[in-house]
Amino acid sequence: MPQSIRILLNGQERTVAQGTTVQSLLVELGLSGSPCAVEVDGQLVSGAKNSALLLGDGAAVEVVTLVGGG
Amino acid sequence: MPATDSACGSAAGAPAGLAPLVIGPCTLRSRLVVGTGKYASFELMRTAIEASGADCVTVAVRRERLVDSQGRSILEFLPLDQLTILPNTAGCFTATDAVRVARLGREILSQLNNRGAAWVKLEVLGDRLTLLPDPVGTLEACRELVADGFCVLCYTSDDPIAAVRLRDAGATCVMPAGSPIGSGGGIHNPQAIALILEMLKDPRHGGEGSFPVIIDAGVGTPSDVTIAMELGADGVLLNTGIAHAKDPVAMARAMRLACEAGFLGARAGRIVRRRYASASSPWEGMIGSASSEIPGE
Repeated sequence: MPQSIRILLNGQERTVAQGTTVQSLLVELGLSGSPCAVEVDGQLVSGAKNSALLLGDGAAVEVVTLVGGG
Repeated sequence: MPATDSACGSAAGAPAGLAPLVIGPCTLRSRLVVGTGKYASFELMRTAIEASGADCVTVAVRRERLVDSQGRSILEFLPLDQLTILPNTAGCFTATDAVRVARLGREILSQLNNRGAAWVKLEVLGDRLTLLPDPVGTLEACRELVADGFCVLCYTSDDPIAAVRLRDAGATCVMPAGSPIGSGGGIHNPQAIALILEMLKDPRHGGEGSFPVIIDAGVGTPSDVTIAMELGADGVLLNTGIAHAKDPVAMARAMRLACEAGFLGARAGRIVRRRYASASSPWEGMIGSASSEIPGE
């Protein structure tokens, strides 16, 4: 049983497996094929879909996309 | 700048008599830029955008809906090969947040290979009630984004000095509000808008004719669009005036025609305003009692 960590994803707590990367998180969320951008702890993760950046316990992750706006 | 194809967009297909709108590295066929928010459906939005003739649309950056990841994306309804997407920083109340959002928007548009990746419509708001811009935060964010390589299209108030400061900070385009966002109030202060246009575009006042000024926000009706264009604006950006009209598609078409009418009218040279009437039919040759009285002579 892999150990888990808690992250703050789009403002909500979520438990993910230890060793989760930005890339694997997007796969887990079903967003690997969607246009989106990711910030971890306030820093933009360039090329998030291929990012091997490891998420640490307590990481604040923002996953954003484009919506209608003026 | 010559009206030719450039790094972004294409002048080809601009309506007859209408010069394309050049904003930094981008050339737009239409001088009407429309928002994508507030529509009853994505399908209606797509049809209204088409009717507006716009080839640049604004979008916002928001958190993914993680609960409903199967939900449809607005991007499925925007022909990305035909439209320049202008991401905004709407809803930001600090320069820090606006810069973060701008970078996130650029990241997404880069993935899409869209021409708008280099652009941002900068909004730093100062107040939730009026959604008026915070001039200090806007200037601060503008400087940072320009330094980061963005073409910054700055939403601002109708304060001429604020507009000049943003231009001096490196904004690619300054976009004064006609009236508060979504209010439909029209152009509240045409004199202030005229001053902004004069100070930014008239070489006698340190301006440059090619510097783009777009009226953004508050435009509610086609006549508002025409007034903005007749004042000498290079374009108009609007959302609610179309999206919340009873018939958004018909209103989109009306807005397009109003924009074209204002652009052409401004360049056609209007008549001088006169205090008294000037008859269009000749006095000469009148029969009856008027035959001996020619006013003004």
